[in-house]
Amino acid sequence: MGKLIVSPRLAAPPRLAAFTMLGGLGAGMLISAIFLLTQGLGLSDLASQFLGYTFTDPAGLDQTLTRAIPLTLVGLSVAVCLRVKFWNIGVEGQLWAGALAATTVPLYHIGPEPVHLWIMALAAMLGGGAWCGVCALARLKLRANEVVTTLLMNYVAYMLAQQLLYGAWRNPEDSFPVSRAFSPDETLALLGFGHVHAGIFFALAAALFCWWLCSLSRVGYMARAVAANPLAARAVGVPAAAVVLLMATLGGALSGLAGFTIVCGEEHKLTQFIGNDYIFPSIVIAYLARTSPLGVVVAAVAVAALYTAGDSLKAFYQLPGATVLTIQAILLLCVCCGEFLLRYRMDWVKTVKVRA
Amino acid sequence: MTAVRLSGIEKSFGSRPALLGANFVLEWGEVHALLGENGAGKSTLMNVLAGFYTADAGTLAVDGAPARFETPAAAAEAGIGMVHQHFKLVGPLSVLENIRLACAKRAGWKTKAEALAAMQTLGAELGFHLNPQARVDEMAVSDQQKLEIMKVLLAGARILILDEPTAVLTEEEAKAALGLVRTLARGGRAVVLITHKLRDVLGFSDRVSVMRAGRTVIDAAPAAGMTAASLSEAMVGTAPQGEIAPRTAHRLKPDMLRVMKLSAPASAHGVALREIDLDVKGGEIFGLAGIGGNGQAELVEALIGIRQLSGGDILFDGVDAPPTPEGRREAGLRYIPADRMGMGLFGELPLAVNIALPRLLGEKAERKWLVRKGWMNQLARAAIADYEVAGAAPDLPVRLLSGGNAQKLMLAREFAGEMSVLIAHSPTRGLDIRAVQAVQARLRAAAEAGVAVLLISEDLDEIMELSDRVAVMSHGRISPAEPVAQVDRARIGRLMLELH
Repeated sequence: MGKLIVSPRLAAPPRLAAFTMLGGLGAGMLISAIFLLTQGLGLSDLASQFLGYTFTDPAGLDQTLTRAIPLTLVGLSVAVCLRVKFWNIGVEGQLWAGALAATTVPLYHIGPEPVHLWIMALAAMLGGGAWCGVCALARLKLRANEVVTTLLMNYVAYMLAQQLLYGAWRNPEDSFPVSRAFSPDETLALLGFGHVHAGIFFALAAALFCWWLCSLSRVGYMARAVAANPLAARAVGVPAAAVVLLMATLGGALSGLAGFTIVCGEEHKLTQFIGNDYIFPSIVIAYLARTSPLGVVVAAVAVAALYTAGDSLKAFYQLPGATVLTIQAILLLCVCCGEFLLRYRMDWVKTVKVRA
Repeated sequence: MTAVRLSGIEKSFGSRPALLGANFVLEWGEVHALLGENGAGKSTLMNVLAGFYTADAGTLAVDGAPARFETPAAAAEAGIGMVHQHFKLVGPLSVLENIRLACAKRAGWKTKAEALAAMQTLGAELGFHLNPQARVDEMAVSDQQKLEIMKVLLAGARILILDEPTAVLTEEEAKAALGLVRTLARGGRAVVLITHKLRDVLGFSDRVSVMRAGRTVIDAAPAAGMTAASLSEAMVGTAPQGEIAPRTAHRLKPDMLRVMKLSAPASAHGVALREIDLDVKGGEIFGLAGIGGNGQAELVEALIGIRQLSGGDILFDGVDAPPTPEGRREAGLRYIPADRMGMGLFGELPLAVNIALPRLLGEKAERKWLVRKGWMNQLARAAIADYEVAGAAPDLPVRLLSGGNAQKLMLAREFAGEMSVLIAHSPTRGLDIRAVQAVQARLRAAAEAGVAVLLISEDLDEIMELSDRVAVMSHGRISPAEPVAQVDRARIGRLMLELH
């Protein structure tokens, strides 16, 4: 007789980490494919939708890249917060707060017209940063769990947006619940490839900045210390509270910037539909990237591609919108399971009877 | 009758071998001391016996029958219980909850009252008085160990393994505990004492085994025939150096660390600090003796700046100490915590990051915007070489280091840069002779270089040997300091107990 022994690994080799990640993704894709086949798709449909349309068709690629811009930013938001073990479940609220703050600039004519766009970006970061920073303060001063506070702040921001869109900011011309359209000075330029706009540079710059901050600057090492052992970090002299506040505020600012790229790059005005369905993907992206800022870019493009494929599945095969969510969940679960193999070693051993 | 026979046990962690064919024989009714330096493999061998590790090779027999324990539960089923140096307790739970969690099934208790009764009976017998409702993570380390010993006995162990049991106890407590251990053995059980203290071996053990570098070098010899010299020679290979040369006379700098009427409220199950006065001069070692849990941890936290004060002043070199821990560190304060992995090191982070971290902090940071791996690795390699940290590499997670080597790393980090005040809290606890000597030599060297060293320890020998002046901490107060030449052990013992 044999027996399976599961024992924790002392240290996981880096090659194994890559292998389990790829294995998890592969298994996730396989299960997702089987799931789609049960929904009435053929094998060739799968290939044409997922590989053909999303990556080789210009319209599909356009949609994927455009969508990847805010997804990268919200993914970075969750990732930098996780660097200090701060669970940011509030990227939507921060995104709304950023979009609202950006919108105040054209509506109330703040600052000189030619640099409105830059002021809007700054305002969006301040708005999102404040939205998340206040949750970090509540954790540090009041021991309020950030999972709860960041989550609830989503609703506060959404309700505030509704209040403004149906009230003070309602379009005066047609009374629709949208703000007036922004002027060309207040929008991000298109880059000549479908809807892809200059926000892509903001997203890439943000990823580079986060990579520098987390991997090269001293703040990144302080963050690691705070995450690994908060008590020892304080005893050694790491300003632990300041580091948590900084990373959480930065995370919020990144989500706020995502709001900016949507209102200035896609909608060109504040609408009701700018901050929906970002929470779950932001966590999936940060997790798939293992909180690596450059990895977030790759994961965000992959998840964006999934949405693109989902849209065409919806259009051509009448599959519900929840299909994409289901596939994301399958992928996340599979990668999480892969993590188990990374942390634990499995050995098959022969058992010997033990006399009590 | 043989209780346990381990032969040819081998065990590796990754590519690092810890045991290379170790042997161990334990008889019923004996106290068997197991000696060895840090990293010699004592704990690993006993973890194999207790089912925490499975051996890569070798055989294990309990009561003459071959056995193999895949889990601690299987070993416990066979009557083997281990009290670890790093306690296996659930911090947020109470004493009674921990006991019920560990023993209820095996002891067959149905109700809380039954568990409480069993705990109190055993407590009275052992002379331990633990509050059953106290939260474990708020108890002193010495109380946590008492709880661990109770847990193993209540679970019905017949073969007891005690890893460094006296390391955290005071002298009186240790003698009582060792006396009890003997009684348990005479009653038919078998006891293994993993220890560094020769007194435990020569005074309380029947037989002794010594391990060195993963092998058994003395296999179950009668303790009666042993001397301190022969045992330490077997442990370290060569006879350890005797007395460290007495310190050269040097000038003292007054008021390097001055504490005036320092008070702090007690946290739950903790001790309040009551009007503490303290004056440590630059160039001296100030020994603070006392039984653990009398406010030492609270005092240390107040000094490093992570505990709220209700009154009093802390001055460094005549000026008010900065309010934050980072400010105090920058002002030259260094700290060696009693709980290395809890308050000092980052177990999950690489050695290089542990070493480099303080150099990245504050205004005088050596690197701010660009921290290169190469620079950190260079620092780490220098520290490993200077402090002779064995089995280390810059990218190794620190939790994989043995106790003595982790402490050397701790020293390497804290002693770097400009140090003016050093707080050393039980700096040699659980270390082997050579590591103890290395740490003590570093403390002396620091004092000689003009640092004000506050040595807080439960080990009276250490206090008497190292300190220039001695005071005693009890119930959150400190006795007036006296030059070491004017105090004797009996006096200190009385102070520990009388100061209310």
